[in-house]
Amino acid sequence: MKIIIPIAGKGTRLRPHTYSKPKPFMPVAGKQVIDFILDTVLPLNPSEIIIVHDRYTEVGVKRVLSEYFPNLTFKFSMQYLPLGTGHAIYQTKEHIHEGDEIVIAFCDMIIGTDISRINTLKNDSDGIIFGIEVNDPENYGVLVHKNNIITDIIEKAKDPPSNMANMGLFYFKDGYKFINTYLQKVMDAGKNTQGEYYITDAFTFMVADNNKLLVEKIDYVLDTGTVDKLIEANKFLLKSSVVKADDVIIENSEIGENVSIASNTVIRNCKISNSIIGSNTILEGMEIKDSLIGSNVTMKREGQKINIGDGCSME
Amino acid sequence: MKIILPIAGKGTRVRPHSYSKTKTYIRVADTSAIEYVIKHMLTTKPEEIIIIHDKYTGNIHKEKLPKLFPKVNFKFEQQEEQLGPVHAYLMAKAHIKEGDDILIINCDCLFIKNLSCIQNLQEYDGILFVKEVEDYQHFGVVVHKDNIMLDNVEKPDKPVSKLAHIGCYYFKNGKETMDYFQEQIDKGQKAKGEFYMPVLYANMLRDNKKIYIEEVDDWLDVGQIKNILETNAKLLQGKVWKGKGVVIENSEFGENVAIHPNTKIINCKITNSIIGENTILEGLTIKDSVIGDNVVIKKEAQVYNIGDDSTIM
Repeated sequence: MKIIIPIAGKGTRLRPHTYSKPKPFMPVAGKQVIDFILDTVLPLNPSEIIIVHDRYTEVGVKRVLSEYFPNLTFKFSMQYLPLGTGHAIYQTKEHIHEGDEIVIAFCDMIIGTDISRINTLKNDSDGIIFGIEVNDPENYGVLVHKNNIITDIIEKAKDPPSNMANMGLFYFKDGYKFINTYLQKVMDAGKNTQGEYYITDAFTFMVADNNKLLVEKIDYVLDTGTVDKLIEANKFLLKSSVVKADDVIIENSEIGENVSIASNTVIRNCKISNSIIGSNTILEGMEIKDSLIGSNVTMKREGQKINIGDGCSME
Repeated sequence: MKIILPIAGKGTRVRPHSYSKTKTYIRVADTSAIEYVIKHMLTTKPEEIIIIHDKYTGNIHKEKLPKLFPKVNFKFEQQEEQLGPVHAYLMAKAHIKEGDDILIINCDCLFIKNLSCIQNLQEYDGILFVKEVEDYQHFGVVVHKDNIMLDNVEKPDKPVSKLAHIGCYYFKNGKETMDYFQEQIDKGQKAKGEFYMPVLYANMLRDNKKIYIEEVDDWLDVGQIKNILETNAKLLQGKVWKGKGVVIENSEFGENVAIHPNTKIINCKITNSIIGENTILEGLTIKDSVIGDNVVIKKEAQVYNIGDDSTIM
């Protein structure tokens, strides 16, 4: 089993944090987003994890992954141009060989599900697309199915016939054929009207070719693509608790619900709730809520010397 | 005259600003390091400016520089490996023809000097621009007699000279200088794994070339945040500079404040600071501060979205 995780894009909706790190390395609930993505897929005991990066994320991704996960085997593929999800996965062609099963997991969706059920479901299917019912299916790729067998995939339709939405987690029993036949067909068909190659178009080709694709319902999905969504995900994961690294120092402070504090951070005379605080940070005399504060930050109440980069806010 | 301008450096000492901007575009006063350097070089009326960039930043410079200086004839060359300054300068080789004189300047070399001096020193093979420093132990210095170069010493223990290389070099015969760069690289004359200027000059002195030592009036450092603020003060000379579309309400300014376009400042008291563009500041008393673009800071804020390496002290 090989896992493919595309990590590309400038992460503009997570600025200023993505100026200094790729988006799956954002802190949330005492870990990083990538830890939760890996937690979902690692029960499958993958032989390799293939990361698709671009020119923006290449350096950060390579450095951080091997540092944090020395026991996992990573392979890397470059996506030179941002031409969509199908195009990103197609770049891993060199790493996928005959007989390889693959799981594809998008890097900004934390998914709660027991993924090990793939091991039984695969006996009677060619692939599995994980989804969940949503209230706004018009914003998603929806999965039309009969008795859990997918009959159609429709991207962002005005009046979708199903509210089961694709959330960016897929399994294919024949990974080699998925890339070399079905994604190849998407590439050969040329860019779609959005100027991109969508992975969902490969599913349509699979269905047309009589592949049996199952839809499997996940327990929950947490979008981590914007600052507000990340703070919401933190709240969901912490369930009102506080999580802090062992070496965090807290003095004379009131720490409310849903606060995540990373290692080596010092907090004095503060009142903090519903926030994510990075590592090696010092906060003194601050009253903070619904906030996302990075690493190596120093903030003192009524400080007059400010050294603050592009895109920060305090409101 | 052709200008050779290498742009390098990661900018770890000017975080967090270098996370979102290439170091050389970080603001100081009403300009940035690269804009200051290019404007200064344009006083020599160069035929072209050859930018040497690394493999990550080439597209940024190709997009930004022609917009900032639409009339300048830029050429761009990529340095594949970071093998030191001489190796970078040699990347310009294809552009240097018989009869071209060259002025090499590093992108963080901001100084004050009327460059018309070059025309008065045409009897020499080259000019080395220097500045006297107190902490000579941290610089490459030049030993001279009657302003003619005798030797160069890297980070000397004793004050054999206090005249430091600042990163600006003129050569009358550009093509021949390229040959000297090539010779140094072909012979593998490295120090600490990189190709540096002192060896280049040693090879030229061996051939009896005459290099004139010219001291600049002031050298403006932008290497760290505190240096950027010092240079901001020197360039603004006590004044407050406001870009287009800046809105100020009920605020008080001390010396040396630069406010970039479309920024709004309400009920603030600000001294000795650089404020980026499209930024909103409300109810703050600040000094010695560097604030980026698209920032919002309000007094008694509770909701923070603050990136790595920010400080409020």
